[in-house]
This record gives sequence, C-alpha cells and structure tokens, in this order.
Amino acid sequence: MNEFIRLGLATLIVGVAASMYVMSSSFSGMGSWFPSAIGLAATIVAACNLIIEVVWIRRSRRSLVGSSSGPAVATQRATPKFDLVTSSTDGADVIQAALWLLVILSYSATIYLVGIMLGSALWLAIMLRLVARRGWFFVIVSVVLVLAMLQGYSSVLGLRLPSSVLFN
Amino acid sequence: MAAAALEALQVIFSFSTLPFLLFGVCLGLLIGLLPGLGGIAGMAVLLPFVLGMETAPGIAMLVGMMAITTTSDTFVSVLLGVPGSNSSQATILDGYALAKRGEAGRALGAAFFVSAVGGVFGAFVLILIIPVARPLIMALGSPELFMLVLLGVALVATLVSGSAVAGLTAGLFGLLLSTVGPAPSTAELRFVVGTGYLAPGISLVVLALGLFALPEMIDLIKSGKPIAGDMQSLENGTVGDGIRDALKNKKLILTSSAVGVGVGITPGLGGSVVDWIAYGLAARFCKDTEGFGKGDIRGVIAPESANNAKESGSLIPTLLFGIPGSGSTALLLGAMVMIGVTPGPTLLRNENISIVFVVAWSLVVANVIATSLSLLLAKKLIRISLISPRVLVPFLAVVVTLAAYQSSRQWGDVLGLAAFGTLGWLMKQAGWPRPPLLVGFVLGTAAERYLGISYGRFGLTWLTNPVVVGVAIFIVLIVASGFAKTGKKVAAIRALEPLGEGADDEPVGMTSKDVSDE
Repeated sequence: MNEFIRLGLATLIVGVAASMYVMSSSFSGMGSWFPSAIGLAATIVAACNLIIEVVWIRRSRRSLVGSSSGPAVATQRATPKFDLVTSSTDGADVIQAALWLLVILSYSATIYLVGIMLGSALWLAIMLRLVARRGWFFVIVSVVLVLAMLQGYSSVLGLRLPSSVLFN
Repeated sequence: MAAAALEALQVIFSFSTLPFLLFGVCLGLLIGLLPGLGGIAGMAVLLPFVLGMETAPGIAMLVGMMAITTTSDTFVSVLLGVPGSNSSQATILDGYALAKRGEAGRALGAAFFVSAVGGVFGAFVLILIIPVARPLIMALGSPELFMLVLLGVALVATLVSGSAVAGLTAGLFGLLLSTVGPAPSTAELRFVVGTGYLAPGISLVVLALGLFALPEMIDLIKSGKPIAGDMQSLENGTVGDGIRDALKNKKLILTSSAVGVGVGITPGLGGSVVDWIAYGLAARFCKDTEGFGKGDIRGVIAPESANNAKESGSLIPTLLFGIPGSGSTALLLGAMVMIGVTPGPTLLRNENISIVFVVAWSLVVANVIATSLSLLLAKKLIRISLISPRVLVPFLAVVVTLAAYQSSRQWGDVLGLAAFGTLGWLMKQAGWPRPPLLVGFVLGTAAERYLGISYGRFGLTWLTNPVVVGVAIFIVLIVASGFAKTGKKVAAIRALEPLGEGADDEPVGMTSKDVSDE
C-alpha cells in the first residue's frame, strides 16, 4: 500500500506542478516569470523523483520475485519495508489512519453544521465517551472547560468563532 | 550613552513600568501556548490598550509580549508536535522526537535556557549595533537578498531531508504554492481558480498546521500510545539535563543567536525561516549529525536560540529606519506612533536614545522572566506527554481547527487545513520531507519580490554581481553534495543487497525517514 501512496503522491506533485506551469503562461508580464520558472523546475525535478520511485519499486518487486527460491533471510533482508511482503499490514494501517483523519475532520463538519459551541460540546462528548471511554464526570468537566476556554478567548482575545449553517 | 542606558534600566524597574512589562510577558506566554498564534495576534490584542499610555510602559508591554511568544510556543512544539508559532516549526523535528522518548523535560529545559540566552544576546546586539547598523543593512541589495533566499531553500531541501531529490521536489513545490495569490510586481491574481478565498494567497498558518499537526495527531491516535510511548517515567531527561546540554553547546547557541539576529535585521525574511536556517546550519556544520531529526538536543538548541534572537534583530531596522522586519514589528511600529514615538534615525538623537534602551532592557528583563516562568511550568506541563492520545487528540482537534480558522476567519481555512493535512499525512507515509515545502513556501514571496526588484533596477547585470555568483556557486555545491550523499546511500544499499545486509535499511535514496522530518 505504501508504494501506491509514494507513486500517487509523486504523480500528484508532477501533475499539479505541470498544471501550474501551463497556467502560468496565461499571466501577464513579470507576474508569469517566477511561477513559470519554478513551475518548470518543479515539474522536471518531480518527474525525476517519480521515475526514481517507479524504478525503485520495480527493482524491489524483482528482488522479491527473484529471491523467492533463495534463502528466506536473504529475501527479507533485500526487501524494503514497504514492499509486497508487508502490503496487507500497511494497507490496514493506511485505512485505519484514513479513518482517523475522517474522524478528526468530522469536528469541522460538526461545527459547520451546528455552530462552534454546540458542535464542540457534542463532538468532544462523543469522542471522550466512545473513543477515549471516559466516565461521564470527566466528559462533562472537560466539555465545560473547553467551552469556557472558547468563550474566554473569544471575549478576551477577540478571536472570532466560526458561524454555522443551521443555527446562526 | 551609559547614563541613558542606566536611566532606562531604572525606568523599566519602576512601579509605573514593571507591571505593564509583566502583563505583556504573561500575555505573550498565553498566546505562545496557542498553536498557530504568534506575536502578530498578541500585538493585535494589545494595540487598542496602548492608546493614551505613557511611552515607557507602553513600549515595555508591547516588547515584553512580542519577545516572549517565541519562548512559550515551544511547549506545544515539543509536547504535542504541533507548530506553536511560525518561529518554532523546526523545533518539532527533534523536540517532539525527544518527547516521544520521554525526554520532554530535557528538550524544554534546553529550549527555554537558550531562548533566554538568544533573547538577551539579541538585546545586547541591538545596543552594540546602533553605530554600524546603517552600512550593514545598506550593503544588502535585492540581488544578494534573492540569492540568500534561494540559499535558504537549498540548505533546507538538501540538509533536513535524507533525499535530495524528494527534498528539492518539496522545496520547489513550496515555492510554487507561494505564487498563489497576487503577483508582487503586477498585483495580478494567480492560481485562484475563481475563489475569493485564495485571492490573498495561501495562509502560512493553515499550511503549517496542516502539514505538521494533523499527521502527528493521526499517528498519535492510531498508535493508541501516549506521546512518551510506553515510558512510565519522564525522568529520562529532566529540565536540568536540558540546561546542562545547553551549556555544553555554547558555540552553537552563540552561532544560532547570531544567525537569528542577522535574519531579524534583514527586512522581509521574517520569523518563519529563522528556525529552519539555524537548524539547517546546525545539521550541516555540527559533528555527528546522524541523530538530527531523531531527537538530537542540538536540533532544539539551534532554532530556539535563533528565534528569540531574531525578535531583537527585527527591532533594529524597525527602530532605526522605520522599516519593520516582520509582521509583529510592523504592528509595533504602528503602536509606537500611537504613543507618540516616531521610529527612524531620529531615535538615535541624544534626547531620544533612552527609548532604544527601554526597548533593549525590556527584551532582557522579559526574556529572563519568561524563561523562569516557563521552567517552573515545564515540570507540570511535560505530563501532557503521558496522557492517552484518545483523550488528547480531541482537544487538539478543537484547538488546531480554531487556530487555523483565525487565519482569515473563513471556512476555506478549515478546508485548507484538511487538504494540507491530507498532503502532510501522505508525505509522511511516503517518507517525503515536509520542512522544505514549508520553507519554500515562506521564502517564495520574498524571492519573487527580490527578483522583480533586481530585474527592474539592474536588468540582467545583477547576475554578474560577485556576491550573487559566489552564493550561486555555493548553492550548486550544496545541491550537488546532497545528490552525492543520496547516491552514496543507494550505492551502499545495492552493495549490501547480495549479502542480504540491507534488512534494516529503507531505500534511502527516495524515502528515507532517517533524517527527514519525522
């Protein structure tokens, strides 16, 4: 799985850099120089990086296949950590991490919908109760403290809190 | 001059000034604890209060606050792996790694001690440099500054990363991202894809929090283990150990502080790069640098010495020429005008010189007080590294999201946080170094501005400037040595493969995490 991430990331960077390089030609005068030059350089270096990634991954796969009939220890030693041998574990890891990313980002979605105070209270309570498995007393005290902190920073430091789509 | 210095010291310790200085220091400590917020946020808070204040208390409060955010921001950088402010991003690399080993106390002890030394060093440089500041600043033209900016990107891309190709890709991508928004020379909007949110450009706070905070939070909660891992005790490294480590690295502290002052003096470079430059130089010139990025205390000492010294350095062009060296000094400039002080060459006149000394003494006293308070708090706060991540991360998510939202106070900030967080996580998974991307982004705007000015003033003749040529050769050598280092590692792994000795080596040529950003 890790090799897909590396290839995907390298491809993404090449794609974005190349797109920005092409787009930069539409800008006028000096405004196009810098992004054009950097866009071209970034595309070339990113493409080199992508080629190196592809070559390395092919090489590591060949190494894996070639050594399948040899001593087990040699196969293991010659194989990078991210290769096919560990792909299932890596895949599970990656999916687990992606799920946690979604859980963390769900906070933004919650406060976007119901507002910062209610959203923070709800999300924190759910996280602390279901994920952290803390008792109700801990959950309530934590939520109250966070809400007090938000209110304090909002009024004392003048930090503006996000508005919601449902209750505003 | 000595009499003016003494008089200013008496003013600082008077009952009419000291309480305001303390208030500024406490506010600075509080703001530094909030990820993503720095001196600019503090200045914005204090600005309304200084109107109508006396000169000395007003200046002491502002300078006390401004100088201290770079001290307390170390708490979150070390304990949570989240950038406390723009100036403490590099501290994460080794500070957080130390915290993971249960040595948060050591990292914090060293960081606070050198922060005080850097701050005091910068204050004395401020006093000493007054007679020679003008020619020093005037010696640097836009061509030299442009090359210095490129040097900064090259240094970080090839030094912080274990892979020169991945580092350069990230650095160039960062430079490219910095071109989103208005062009410095024509104000034409670029790459905004029809959205108003991107019109001012990508927010540094959002990018930094996304690249560094979200990936750490994901890994932390996924692992289910506290930051300090399975450590039941935090006595692996105490605050006292950190101070002793710092005392063993006096030369590094002084060098990094000097770098900090130098970067601070240079208008436009700002605090976002000072820590990376100091870190990059330490990683290049220290002995036995294999441990950098894995929890080397020198990786904490260098950036922390530099970022406090930078605050003093940035006051030099602000006070003496009325040219703010950073965003927070720009606000300080405005605040000083509000209380009746006009920064510029007139401050060097005999009747005004005491104001410069009030600023310098405020820096000294504020740094000493802030360090003492931080060292007292450190013993309690390091216990954060023992809290279960399932409890810690939800609170972090709230703080990080709100910190990102304060950037432009639009939902685009939160979307940007998600996008850059995903990018940062992918980069971490792939073993790509993240610091070069951030440094490229920070320096990109300055690079483009200096390039435009250089071309406008000198055409193409600036390319033959001896300093420009010298720095260009240095950059080529640095990049070449980076490639050579990568090539050697790949060759070493290939040589070991037939013997099966590469078991524990990752493909260093492309994805090494050894000296990358983790």
